[in-house]
Amino acid sequence: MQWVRAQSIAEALSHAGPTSRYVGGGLSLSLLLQRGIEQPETLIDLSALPLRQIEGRQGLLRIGSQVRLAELSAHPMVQSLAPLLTDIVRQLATPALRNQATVGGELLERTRCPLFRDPSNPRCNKRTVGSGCAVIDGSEHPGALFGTSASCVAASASELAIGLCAMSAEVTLYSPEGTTERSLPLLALYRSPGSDPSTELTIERTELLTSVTVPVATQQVFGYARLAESPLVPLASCAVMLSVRDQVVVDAKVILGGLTAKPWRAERCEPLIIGQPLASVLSDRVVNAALDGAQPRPASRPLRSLAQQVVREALRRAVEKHAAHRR
Amino acid sequence: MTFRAEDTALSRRQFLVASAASCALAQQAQAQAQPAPSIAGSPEADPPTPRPGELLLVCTVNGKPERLSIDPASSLLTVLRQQLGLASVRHGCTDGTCGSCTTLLAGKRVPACLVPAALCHRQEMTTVEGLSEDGSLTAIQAAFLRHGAADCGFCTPGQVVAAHAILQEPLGPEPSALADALCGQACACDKLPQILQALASVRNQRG
Ligand SMILES: Cc1cc2nc3c(=O)[nH]c(=O)nc-3n(C[C@H](O)[C@H](O)[C@H](O)COP(=O)(O)OP(=O)(O)OC[C@H]3O[C@@H](n4cnc5c(N)ncnc54)[C@H](O)[C@@H]3O)c2cc1C
Ligand code: SF4
Ligand code: FES
Ligand code: FES
Ligand code: FES
Ligand code: FES
Repeated sequence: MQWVRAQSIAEALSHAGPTSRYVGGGLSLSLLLQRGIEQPETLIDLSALPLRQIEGRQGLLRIGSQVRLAELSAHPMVQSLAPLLTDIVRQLATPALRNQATVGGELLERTRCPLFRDPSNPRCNKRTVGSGCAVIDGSEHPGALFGTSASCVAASASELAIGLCAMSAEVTLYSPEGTTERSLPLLALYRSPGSDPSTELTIERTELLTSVTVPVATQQVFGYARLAESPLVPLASCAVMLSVRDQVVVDAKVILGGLTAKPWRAERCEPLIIGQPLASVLSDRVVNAALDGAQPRPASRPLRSLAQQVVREALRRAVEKHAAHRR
Repeated sequence: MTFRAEDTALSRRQFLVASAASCALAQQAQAQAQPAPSIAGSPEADPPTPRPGELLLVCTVNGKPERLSIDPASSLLTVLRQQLGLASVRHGCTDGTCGSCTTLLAGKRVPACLVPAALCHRQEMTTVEGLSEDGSLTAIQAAFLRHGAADCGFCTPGQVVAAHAILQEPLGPEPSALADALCGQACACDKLPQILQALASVRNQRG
């Protein structure tokens, strides 16, 4: 295995190929390397690249992919313009992990399905397409509730992505083929497993994520809720964005995570909120609409109630924020 | 980790960040952890160039400059323990959950078991051996003794490094802030309450 200390974006891209991996904080990669689950030939170290800045201009917050999660949550501009991100980061993983984990690594981390990460489990379609899925074949692990397929029911890992999708963030990418950057809505970066669960992303692993851009609109309020078995084992999370004018919701976004194959936009929920008085947002009808599209299996049926709870709580917190805002 | 049906009846309280003492998962990982061998590996002679297939790592560990040839896939834990003989950095869960390998990297606490050693090039690392410059006990170590914050001692070096770091970190105003800061630091001997007392006492001394 070769380790490349890239000195520029161009140099990083020049080493990218089918058997390479970029290294951000290296935490989740290191776990998979140590267990032999990822076996890249080239590791491309991004630490020397100028991707560790947070900049704010013209209603946009631009976050470099090498920014550490602890730096993100502590940054004054993030705390004042995008407090949702601070709120989310302070609840995930542990302080020591957050010191090392990068924004890019957090967004592009592979699933934390315990059977994907267990080298003694031979049946995982994500590792070897066609080998089966130990979770579907009777493990007690619940798997995900939304966006799953008959070949894989793994949940996507990133909680930061849930908040960033609610904020309509975009990512900037460079690919080895093109010389210019392109951008993509963060939500469009993630895919459901379908018949090929080998990747969670719509982009190639050779593409380099350089930054995340977040629009910060002052009339928006956010609510975030997370249910976890322990801080390290998140079960369900939900981020809600409400844009309110004269006590009427003019725009809304409801994103579910933790029990979803990818950051999951609760599309049926949003039309029930938009155009309605703020006071009617917190209804069973809205909460139940968030469960539309759920694909429960016997083991994941209990997750339905968790999904309802996080949606309700995230909505409640957003409404509360709006009230606090106006005071 | 199996999913229990009772968890679906979670109350409002569980939306709060759990307190440090509540992490059964991490404590389980700690309990399963193997104790460190008592004889440490011998420190490596300075290799002028890396061995074939390996990589040069130039860094500072506990104030001492090091030049090592490392496997690119090695974790910082492996290099500190096996190549530098620092057995205080424990081989615990190796999945980032127990905190027994907590090490300072560029002044910040990190789980050495998951940090690729190759990322530590030209960086400074500190383990419990390097916390005190003159070999005397640091304030936090003395507080650990005073409060009986160690039992078997397996987790103690990582706890001391974490506590040392916490004393330099900004802390939120909420009452659980200090306990939350200990998140990820498990102790199979249930000494987290005493560790918390030790931390609080040093913090209060400093005002
Ligand atoms: C014990 C544990 C508990 C955790 N708990 C939570 C939790 O509760 N909630 C949560 O949301 N997260 C959690 N995480 C995830 C954690 O916060 C980190 O985000 C994660 O470990 C990856 O960060 P990293 O920078 O180390 O990524 P790396 O390991 O460096 O990278 C991860 C992946 O992304 C790729 N990559 C990295 N940077 C780039 C880039 N710029 N461009 C293209 N590809 C890139 C790598 O090739 C790799 O495939 C946990 C992690 C651990 C180990
Ligand atoms: S759910 Fe997906 S990742 Fe988990 S074992 Fe099944 S195929 Fe593998
Ligand atoms: S050995 Fe448990 S966190 Fe590193
Ligand atoms: S409280 Fe257990 S890991 Fe944080
Ligand atoms: S490990 Fe117990 S505090 Fe998190
Ligand atoms: S594990 Fe024994 S003192 Fe903490």
